[in-house]
Amino acid sequence: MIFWLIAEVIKILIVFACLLAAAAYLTLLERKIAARIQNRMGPMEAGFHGLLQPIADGIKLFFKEDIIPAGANKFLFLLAPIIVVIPALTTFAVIPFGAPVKIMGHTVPLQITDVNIGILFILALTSLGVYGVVLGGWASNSKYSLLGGIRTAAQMISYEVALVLSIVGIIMIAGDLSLAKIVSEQSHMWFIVYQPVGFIIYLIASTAEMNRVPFDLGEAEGEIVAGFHTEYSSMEFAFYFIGEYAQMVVNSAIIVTLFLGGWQGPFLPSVLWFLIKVFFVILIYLWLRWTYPRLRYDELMDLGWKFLLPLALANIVVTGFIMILLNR
Amino acid sequence: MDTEKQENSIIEISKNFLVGLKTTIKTFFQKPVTFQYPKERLAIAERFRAFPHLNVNGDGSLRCVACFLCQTVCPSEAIKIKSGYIDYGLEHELTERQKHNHSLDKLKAGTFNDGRRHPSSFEIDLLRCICCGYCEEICPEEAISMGNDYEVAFYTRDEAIYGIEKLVKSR
Repeated sequence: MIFWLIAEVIKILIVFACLLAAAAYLTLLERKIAARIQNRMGPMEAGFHGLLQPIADGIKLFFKEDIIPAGANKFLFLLAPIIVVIPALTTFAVIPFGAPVKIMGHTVPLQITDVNIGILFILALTSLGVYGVVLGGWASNSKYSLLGGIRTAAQMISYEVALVLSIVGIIMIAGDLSLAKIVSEQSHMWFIVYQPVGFIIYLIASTAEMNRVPFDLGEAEGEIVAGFHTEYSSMEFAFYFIGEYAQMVVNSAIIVTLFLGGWQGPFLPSVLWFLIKVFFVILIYLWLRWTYPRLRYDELMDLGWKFLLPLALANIVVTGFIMILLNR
Repeated sequence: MDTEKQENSIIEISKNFLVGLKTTIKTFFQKPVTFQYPKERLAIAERFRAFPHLNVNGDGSLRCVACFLCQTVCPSEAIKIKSGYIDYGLEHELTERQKHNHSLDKLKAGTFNDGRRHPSSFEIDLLRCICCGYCEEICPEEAISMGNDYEVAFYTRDEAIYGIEKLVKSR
């Protein structure tokens, strides 16, 4: 029992530290990739090729003045960034990041907890992030923040539907909601082969869910200054950033778990396979971001409701038909 | 016209999306066109010209003979010259030709000169200068030429007026 407790705590600490470090260094990766795509060099000054840039940014943000606008709802204003970060970090609890290892005769699964409704847990938590954005936008007492918050809320709710429906195909094939089971079901064939359409829908919908370009309507610089985080400064602003990038890591991890066979792979250790796959999915997100311009608001809603939703429904129906035909 | 049909077809749209992705991945693997400016610098072209500076002879004396040609030709009136004579003292031995130079007669007594005019002050206002290079072109003595120092900055307008010393030192 004590061994189990210690193992859990160590796993939690490792995952927590890795997520925060990944969120910090994703900012550097994003800037570097953006620079390369635009034929620039990106940050080069802090450390070798800018390797210390995230730390420098963190220190800078930590010592910045903490401005709370007059007329802002102080409690909600401070609460909102926390609501963004916590679900993003918590979602990782159910994602298996490696094959079970044997330590001192005990089998330790490399997953903080194997909830038997893992997918539902993930969906519930990722959609909590919208509250942080909406509350932050409302509590700022600024028209830009409010507009950004409202836009983001509408967008997240719209894309949530397509996001959930795109996973249903996976659940049907795997026959289980537990993520560990889903990973072990993919030992012969990754689910992206059976569900290519579901993969694409999930990729698009999760980009919209994370408020990233080309779906960053909520923080559109050209239109509403910085959207919901216009009034935020200092560490609260940093919290929004950590939340955004942690969400990106988590979403990539979900994609890897659901579609790309999780930690399974030949030759290399399972954790390494997981990290490599997550890294490549993150690269896809970055690649998308620096390729496409932002959608107009009506285009965004059109894409969500008129294209992705029917496609996701059709995907479920077709998957069901084929499963009946193959008599599985 | 079938343009409308093309715009609406999903295949066409997704093909354009893929073209965008291909473009960005191609530039991703290209060499960056920017460089780390204060550490690395672009090679300056041979005919590059920045602000003018004054040339000196081998012994360190100015080549300028205060002929005023550059001040006259300067389109932005950046150059201000005051002519004068250099006092070589009693020890200076005049050449035969210099002895017969009566332009020296006007000098006050006790001043000895080599018989050539020299600028007593030579000022170029770098804020007026347009780096056109006319002064270099017209100078009969090759006393003024265009440098290549493009990083010139001042705190006040007065600092921008370069005297003889600064003009000799600047590149």
